[in-house]
Amino acid sequence: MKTDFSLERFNRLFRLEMKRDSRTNLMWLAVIFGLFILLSVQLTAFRDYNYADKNSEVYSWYFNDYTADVMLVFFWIGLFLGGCFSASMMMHPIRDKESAIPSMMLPASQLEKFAVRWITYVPIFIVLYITGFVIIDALRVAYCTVTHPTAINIRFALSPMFNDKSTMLAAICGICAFFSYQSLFVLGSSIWPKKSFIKTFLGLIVLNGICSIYFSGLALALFEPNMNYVPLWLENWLEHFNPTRTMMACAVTAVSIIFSSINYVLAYYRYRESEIIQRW
Amino acid sequence: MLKIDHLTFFYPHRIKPVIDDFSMELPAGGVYGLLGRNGAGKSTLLYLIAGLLTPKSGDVTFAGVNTRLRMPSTLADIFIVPEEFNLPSMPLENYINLYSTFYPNFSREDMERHLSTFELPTDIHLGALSMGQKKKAYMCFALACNTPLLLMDEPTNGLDIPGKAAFLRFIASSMTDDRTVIISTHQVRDINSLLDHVVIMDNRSMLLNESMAEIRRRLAFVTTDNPSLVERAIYAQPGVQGVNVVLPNDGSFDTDVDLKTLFELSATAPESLAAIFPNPQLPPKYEN
Repeated sequence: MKTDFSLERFNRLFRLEMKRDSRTNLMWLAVIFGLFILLSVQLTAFRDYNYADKNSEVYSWYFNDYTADVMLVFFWIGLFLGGCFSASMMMHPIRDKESAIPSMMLPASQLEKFAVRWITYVPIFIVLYITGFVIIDALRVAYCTVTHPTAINIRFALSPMFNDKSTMLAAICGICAFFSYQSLFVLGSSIWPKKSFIKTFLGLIVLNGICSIYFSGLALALFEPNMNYVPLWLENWLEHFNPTRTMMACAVTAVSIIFSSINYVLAYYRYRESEIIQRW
Repeated sequence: MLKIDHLTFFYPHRIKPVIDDFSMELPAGGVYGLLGRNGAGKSTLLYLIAGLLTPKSGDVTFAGVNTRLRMPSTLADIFIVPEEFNLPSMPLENYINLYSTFYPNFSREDMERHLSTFELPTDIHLGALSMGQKKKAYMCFALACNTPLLLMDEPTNGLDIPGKAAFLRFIASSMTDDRTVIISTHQVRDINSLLDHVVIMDNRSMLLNESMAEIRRRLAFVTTDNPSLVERAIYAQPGVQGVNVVLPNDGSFDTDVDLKTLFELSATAPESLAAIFPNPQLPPKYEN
């Protein structure tokens, strides 16, 4: 019997996890998409009622599809909130002793168990979320196109992200930020399997506060005009440092990949050593 | 074979260990009863055997492999039925189809046989069962997996009276020479007739580790009103039908082991027990 990873056992475990948690997971996705449908209907109806029948503003609706902009904002909010919430559900089977014992005693390696949960709650969530959002948005666009056949500026919510290179780079940076945050919630889930979302959220607020104070102090100490703490080489480098947007996007992507990977690996090792009691 | 080697375990934020330098070897085959008061560390020991807790020192090996490593091959050989557990809300049939694939020795015929022992139908939904029924279904699955080591923590808790009787038949009917069952309980009456071997734990150590045959050979459990027998007894406790006494067996008695009285003897007069069953695990205060 392979000790670390067996594809055949992984497939069986994946099937088990999908069947066991499918109802709960689909219910959560239904809640998210239900909210988007409500939002979409509300925004469309609101525009229609307020502007379409008023001569002075009728063209404003046609030429400025605010609905798509609002939907785009909510896409990002939903992605961050839903993704982080989904990540906090990753260690749900070991949330208490009663659930942890059957889960931990299942004859599969810790790597297989972690990989199945990671795939379900990170990539599969993202794919389902984006697919669902695109379908709802497409329905909105189709509805608006039918009800307002003369409108020329009805667009998909996600289309501005592909307008030009700069918006694409911004979108990539947004996705990187999302993965970085989500990976922290994966790590949080392995540390606190129970009430993970709230605990990680509070933990991040505290950590953020500490880091802000520390780095502000450091920046003040380094860059205070009266204090000559900045080494000459750094000053020269900063003077000549003129990065392009592409360079910055590449750097952000690289940093976020490394950061997320470290968090996933730490979460795996924490999960591997998990017990049926919480030591801290 | 199960080997526990100098095991010490502390719960977080506790000064005293729950299990202190505990060693034991259990050869394969037989039903072992793990008895002890509340808080003696019975459940903790089962969790440590299953690899669900990390000891401060020492280790537990099963078939030569450290169980704490939780290797898939070891997990396929060990099944634990805890006192309380959560099962997924799904039909039993789906549960069997999904989970049985992880246990190479799983037998569907055994599962159906065990379910019929407990008078449970196969078309039940796990989410709709009471705790007692859930326990019966889970124990049926545990036995049907045919793992060489089966650990049960308070298995008769939550079972009704017919369920307790069925439990005895159920374990007895599924025993094989190479299968080891460890039952942790303080409901000694429920498992009296089932055990091959008794381990009594107290004060983080082991008071007794003997086979039932050896206990029967060395001790006699008698209910009597005879004053001379009461005088000779190493333990006497007045009961409804007379005085329950434990006597050193000189070969003139052939009595069944009364686990309840044996347990009371170990709790009240461990030094008397130690005189008959010398045990290297016994704390120094009990040594003669």
